Amino acid sequence: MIDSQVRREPAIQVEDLEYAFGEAEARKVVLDGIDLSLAAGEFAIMTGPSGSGKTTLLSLIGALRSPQQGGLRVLGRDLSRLGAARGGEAGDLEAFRRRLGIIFQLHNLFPALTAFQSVQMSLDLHDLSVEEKDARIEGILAKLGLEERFDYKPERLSGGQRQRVAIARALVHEPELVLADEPTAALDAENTEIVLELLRELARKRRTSVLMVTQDARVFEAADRLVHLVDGRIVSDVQTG
Amino acid sequence: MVPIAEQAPLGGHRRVELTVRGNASIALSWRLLLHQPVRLVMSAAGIAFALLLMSLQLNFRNALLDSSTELIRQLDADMLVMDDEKDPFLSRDNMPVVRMFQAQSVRGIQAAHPIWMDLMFWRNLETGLERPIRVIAVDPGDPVFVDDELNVALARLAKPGTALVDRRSRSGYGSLSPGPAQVDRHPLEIIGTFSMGADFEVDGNMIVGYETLLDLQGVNRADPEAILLHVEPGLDLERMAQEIAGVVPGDVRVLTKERLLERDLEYWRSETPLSVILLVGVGLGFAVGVVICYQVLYTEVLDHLEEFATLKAMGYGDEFLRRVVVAEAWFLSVLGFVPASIVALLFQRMLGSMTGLAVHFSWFASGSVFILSIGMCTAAGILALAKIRSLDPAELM
Repeated sequence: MIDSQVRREPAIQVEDLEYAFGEAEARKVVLDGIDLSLAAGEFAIMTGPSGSGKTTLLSLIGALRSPQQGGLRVLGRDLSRLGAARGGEAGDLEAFRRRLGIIFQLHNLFPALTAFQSVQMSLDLHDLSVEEKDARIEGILAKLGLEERFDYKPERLSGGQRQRVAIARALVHEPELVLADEPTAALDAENTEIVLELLRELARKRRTSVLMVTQDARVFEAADRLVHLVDGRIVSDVQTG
Repeated sequence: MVPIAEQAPLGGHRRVELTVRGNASIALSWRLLLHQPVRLVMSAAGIAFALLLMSLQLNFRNALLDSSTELIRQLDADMLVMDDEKDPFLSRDNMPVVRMFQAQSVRGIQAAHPIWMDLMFWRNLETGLERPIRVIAVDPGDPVFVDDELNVALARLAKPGTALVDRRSRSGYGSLSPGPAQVDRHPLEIIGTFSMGADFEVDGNMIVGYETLLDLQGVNRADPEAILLHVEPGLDLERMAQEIAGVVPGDVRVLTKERLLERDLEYWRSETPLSVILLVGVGLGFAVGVVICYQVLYTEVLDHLEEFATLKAMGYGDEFLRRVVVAEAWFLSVLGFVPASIVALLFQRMLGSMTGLAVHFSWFASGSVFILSIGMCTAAGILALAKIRSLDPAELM
C-alpha cells in the first residue's frame, strides 16, 4: 500500500551515510559521507570501479544490511529503525522488503521450481487473487520472451533465460523501488532492451524508482541519472538526456 | 500426503500451486526433496535404518515382557499364593502345600488349584541332543488355564507318563507330534499340544500330571510352586488378598493376578540387564537417526543457501524458512518410517519363528516408533535451523 504523502517525498533519501567493514585496525570504510536522493519514478544508474561501494550502498538501501551512521530513508521508512532488533515492529523488515524488487547478479533460482513457480514465490507474498497472480506471471514471463518456458526448471534454461526469470520474479509484484545489481550482464542486446523497457514502463506507469548498478554502457542512455562512485564517495551525479 | 495441488493446464502449461495460504512452505519442502530422487531415497533409507534399529529393539523388549509373563496370562486365577521369595513368577521357589488349605479356609474362596514347575531336559529323539524344558505340572482335571480346550486336555494327563507339549517351542526339540518322547531319561508319551511360546529362560514348555512329575523327579511328593485361587463373584479381590495374607504365615505372599502381572512386568522392565540394554539400543538408534537426518537436512540447507537468502531478501521471514526445513524433516520421517515398518515386520516374523518368542506386531510399538521418528527428525531439523538463522541476504550481493 502506498501512502500518497509518502510518495511525495523521495523514494530514496541518503544523508551523510557512512559504512565500514571490520573493526579497529581492520576497519575499512567503504561508504564515506554519501548524499543521494532519488525521486519516485526516477531511473538512476550507479557506476564506479570495483570496491567503490556501489553494491554496499545498494544492499543498505535494500535493507539487507543495517546502516551504521548517517541518515537513510527509503519509501518513507527510516531504515535504522527497521526490524524488531532495531526497535521496530516485528515483521516490518519483511513487509518493507516486499515493497522492493531486488535483482541480484546471480539468479539464485530454486532448481526444484519451474520458471512459473519461481515467479509465483514472489507474488505469493502479496494479497492477490489466483487469477490476478496467474495473469501477472504469464504476462511478465511472456514479455521477457519466456512464454514457452513456463514449465522449465533452471537446469533446462540458458544463463540468460535464468536471469530473465529472476528479473520477472523481482518485478512481477510491481515494486515501488527496484534495486538491480548488474541485471543485464548475462543478457544479449535484444533482451537487455526488453528488460530496460519493462523497467521504464514500471517507472512511467507505477512511479517505480529504479537504482541500477551496472558497468554495461548499453543501458546508460535508458537512465534519468548517472551516479558515479569512487572510493565510497559520489564523485559525479548528472542528469542524462 | 502430497501437499501440492495440481491445477488444470493453463495456457497449455501444467503448473503447481504454491500459494502461501496453501502452505507454500510444505509445498516447497516437498518439491525440494523430490527434485533429487536418488538423494531422497538414500536419505529415507538412512532414516529407515535408524528406525528399524529402534523398532527391533522396542519389539524385542516387548517380546521379552510378553513372553516372560505369558504363563501368568494363561493361568486362570483371581489370585495366587506363592513363596515370598518367588520373584519373578518364573523363578522356581516352592511352598508348603499346607498353605493351600490355610488359604482355602478363608470365607469366599471357591476353589484352589496347585501347580508345580521344574526345569528338566528334553531329549531330541532325532539328534540325541538334550535341551532344557519347563515342566508345568497340574492335578489332572483342575481347570488351571484360561483356555478351555487346554483344560479339557488336562484331564487326559491322569494317565501316568503322558504329557502335552508346547507347539511353539523352538525347533531344536525335534518332533512335537503325538508320540514317544524322553525327558530326564524317562520315556514319555506326547498326547497333545498347547500354545505358550519360548521366553528368555527356556525354549519350550510341557505340561504333565502331578503323578508323572513325581515319576520324573523320582520322589514321593512335591511341594507346589503356586496355588491358584478362585473367589466368589463380586468380592473385592484386593481385600480378599489381604484377608488371606492375614491367615497364612509370612513365608508366602498373596497377589491378585493383575498385581502379579504388574509386578513381573516391572521386574522384567527394570531389573533385567537385557531390558535396559534394549532400551539403550532404542536410544542409540534415536541418536543415529538424528545424526543421519541432520546430515541430510544440513546438506539440503547448504545446497540452497543462496535461494533461501533470496527468499529473505524478497520478504519471506525466518518463520517461513523454518517451516520449510521442519516440513522436510517430517517428510523424511514419514518416508523413513514406512519402509522401516515393513522391514521390521518381516524381521519380526522371521525372528519370531526362529526364536519362538512372542515377537509380534504391536500398534503401540509401531506408534511409539512413529512418534520417535517424528521426534528424531524434528530434533535434526532444529539443529539444521542454526544454519538458516545465520543466513545473511546481504551476502548475495
